[in-house]
Amino acid sequence: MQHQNIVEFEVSGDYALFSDPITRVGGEKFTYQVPTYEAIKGVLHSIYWKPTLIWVIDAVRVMNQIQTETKGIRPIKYNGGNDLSYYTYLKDCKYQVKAHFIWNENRPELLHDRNENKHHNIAKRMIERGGRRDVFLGTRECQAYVEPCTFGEGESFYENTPQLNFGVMYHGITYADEAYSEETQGNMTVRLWRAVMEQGVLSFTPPEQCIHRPVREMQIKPFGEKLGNFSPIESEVV
Amino acid sequence: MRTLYQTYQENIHMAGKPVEGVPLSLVAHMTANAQIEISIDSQGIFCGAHDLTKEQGKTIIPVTEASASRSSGDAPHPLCDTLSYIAGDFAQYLSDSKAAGKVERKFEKYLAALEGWVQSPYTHPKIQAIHRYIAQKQMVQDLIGSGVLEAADGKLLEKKVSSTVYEKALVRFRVIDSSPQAVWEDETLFDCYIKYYATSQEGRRDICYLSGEEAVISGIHPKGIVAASYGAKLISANDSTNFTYRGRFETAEQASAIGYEATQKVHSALTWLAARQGVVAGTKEKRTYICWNPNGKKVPDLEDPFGLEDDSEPRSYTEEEYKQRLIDALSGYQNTLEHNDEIVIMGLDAATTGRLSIVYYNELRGSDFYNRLMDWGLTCRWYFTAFTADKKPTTTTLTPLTKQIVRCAFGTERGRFLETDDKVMKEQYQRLIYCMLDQKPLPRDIMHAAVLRASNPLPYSWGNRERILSTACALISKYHHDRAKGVSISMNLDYGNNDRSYLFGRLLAVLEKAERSTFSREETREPNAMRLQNVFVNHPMSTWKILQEKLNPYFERMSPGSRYYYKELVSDIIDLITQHHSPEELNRPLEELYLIGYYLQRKELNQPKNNKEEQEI
Repeated sequence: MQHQNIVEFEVSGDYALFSDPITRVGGEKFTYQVPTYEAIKGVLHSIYWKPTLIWVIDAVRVMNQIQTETKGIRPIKYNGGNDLSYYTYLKDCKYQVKAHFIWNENRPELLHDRNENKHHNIAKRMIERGGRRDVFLGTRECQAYVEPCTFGEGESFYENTPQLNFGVMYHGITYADEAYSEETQGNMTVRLWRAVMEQGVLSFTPPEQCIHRPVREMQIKPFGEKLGNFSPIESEVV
Repeated sequence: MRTLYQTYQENIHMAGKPVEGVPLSLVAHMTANAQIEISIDSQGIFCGAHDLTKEQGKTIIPVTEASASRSSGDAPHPLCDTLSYIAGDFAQYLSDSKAAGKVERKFEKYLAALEGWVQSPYTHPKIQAIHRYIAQKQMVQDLIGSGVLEAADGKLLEKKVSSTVYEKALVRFRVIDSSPQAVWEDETLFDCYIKYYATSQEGRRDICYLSGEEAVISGIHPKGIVAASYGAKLISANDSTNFTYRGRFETAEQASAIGYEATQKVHSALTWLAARQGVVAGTKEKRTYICWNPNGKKVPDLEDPFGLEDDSEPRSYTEEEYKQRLIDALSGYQNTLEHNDEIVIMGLDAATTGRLSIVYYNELRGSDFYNRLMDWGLTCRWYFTAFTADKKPTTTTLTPLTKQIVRCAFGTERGRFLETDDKVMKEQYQRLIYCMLDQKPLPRDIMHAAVLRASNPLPYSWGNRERILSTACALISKYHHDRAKGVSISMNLDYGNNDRSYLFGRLLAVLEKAERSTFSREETREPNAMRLQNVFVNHPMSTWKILQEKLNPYFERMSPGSRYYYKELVSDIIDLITQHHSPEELNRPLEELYLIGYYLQRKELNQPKNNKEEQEI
């Protein structure tokens, strides 16, 4: 990596649901107060992503006041029938995000694609155009919109709040294909961190420094022509 | 969750103390209702027993994870349990041999568990005494001897002790030659058990999602958090066939993990708060709201934040006095808080019987919280009719209670009271909470519903009519305050207000008063203006003409002075209306503002005579 490859953008939506895993297992989703690392990473994946690179979220700035709204939901069960539950969403959300990418060393076969300039410029263009795929905040029903911005510009509701402590929070999951240590290789690992918001800014702990909780074994998904899940550029040429 | 964990840590000194209501229970302890109390001495000799009433029966008992959430299995509590577990000779007094066998198995399990504790390094003199007594296996015999239980022919009768069947009667102990005597008040014993239980626990160790540290993980979480939905659990994971957690994760253990200690602390904190300061909306289907400060400082009651109902001596407050009173009441609370102290408001409800959900959650800084309450109190207020101790009506300024708003806007009259369906109450209450605590503008439909009811007063009794009218005025006032960005409607009659609805409202009040002034004392029928109020709202101009005609015979009955006075007043108002509004818009339906004009004009007319004359000059 020669450059920092930083991108900055603002993502906003009417609702967001970053479910707290504690209540989520029962089916009653209850949102965290602030976005998780993984959710923001998901936003970036919707904007632009290739297996060549890994997105790293540096910081998120919470622009609007944290407010929740509960909705009665009728989730359809997998085996038929329905359930009833309450989902609690965050309301009227706006976040500024600062992120950069690094190469994914777990994919040596993509070595030839490691062109910083290309990926950085595509990513920036995609932010201007609002992303490649639809963007959502936390869960699929919470549609959101992306716009370029300068991180730190404009006033956050929490500008004058020196510190807000959210305690232990879910950070994300390290999958085998983005492993960075022996512990995370061949495993699915849940990361936890102690979230603190200072003047509205959440500075995420880098994934490697989080509390790690290995969940289960998992292998990297292979891609290739022979496996039928990869088509070379030649096949696209008309 | 984290806030609850913090609440527990801050209030740990309260744990296990006998206080009013439900005590904050300790880790691995819970509160149960005991029906029988047995006294023994430190040698384990029986010294007497008696039954307990429900009020006396609140007892903190040590539990295990399995016993706390047992339903039909046979997991014994470690110390105090029901007769079927604890009495070694219970089986002998049963006629059914199958039931007797089951009881024996229960007792064996109980005794084995107790022995385990007695022999551990965390034993305690009281436990040893109880163990000696239990081992004698003569509890039922002793209880029959002391008249607590009744038996005939060597078998127990099917009777109840403190309205609980014998089998389910919980026993607690008192060791008479120790201090404190009561086993359930001995903090050293609590300590011993917590330590014993921590060491004896076997289980998967993993990272706890609440503390972030490695701990023994709990698979079962407590139920019975809020009395309203007793069986519902806040944390549960029993749906292994559908995709509540399956997918990315294969088992519930993979999806999340909470340490035993953490879950105990969170749940006991929540149970404690719900019992102490929970506000319940609804009568059958309930939603519980709790408002608290994690550091255990006193916060106002969410239902009645200004302590209005404590007022033993109702008196008339003017708007200014009312404002001062609110400020006094709230700053009293606020002074106990430091600037950064937080206030948490949480609403709990269960959509299905099994799972409890957090339906409202908000964390506010103390100062914000009080500012918002203050704002609500000062903008949503109107004159209310209250009764003094000798039942004389007086007018005072109040903010209607949240539940009253819902009842007035959506309720139906049943008997003397207005009632609403629970579902409506729950949802509307929550919307008003948003207005109060998130400073959302008041939804138009709530205001409108109250106005519609106030415009159609005939179905309601006089008390409810007034209540609805005042509440509607308070809501109109709040609604217009929100819309006009901070300009409140004046609570005094504004002669310069030329709004069509306002003027027609005033006219209605005058017409009503004119007719009423000719009534004799016993006359209880409704004046024409009241009867036609609903029509008047929709077609003010044409209804006014009808009312005017109907009023003629009443004018005849008046003294010339008051006839002149009312006629003058009516024509003044009509002049204002026709001056400022074009004829085609006159007959259009009235806006909600007419109620304000109506109320204020009526208040003006009802004032004692001498005041009125002063104002006229």
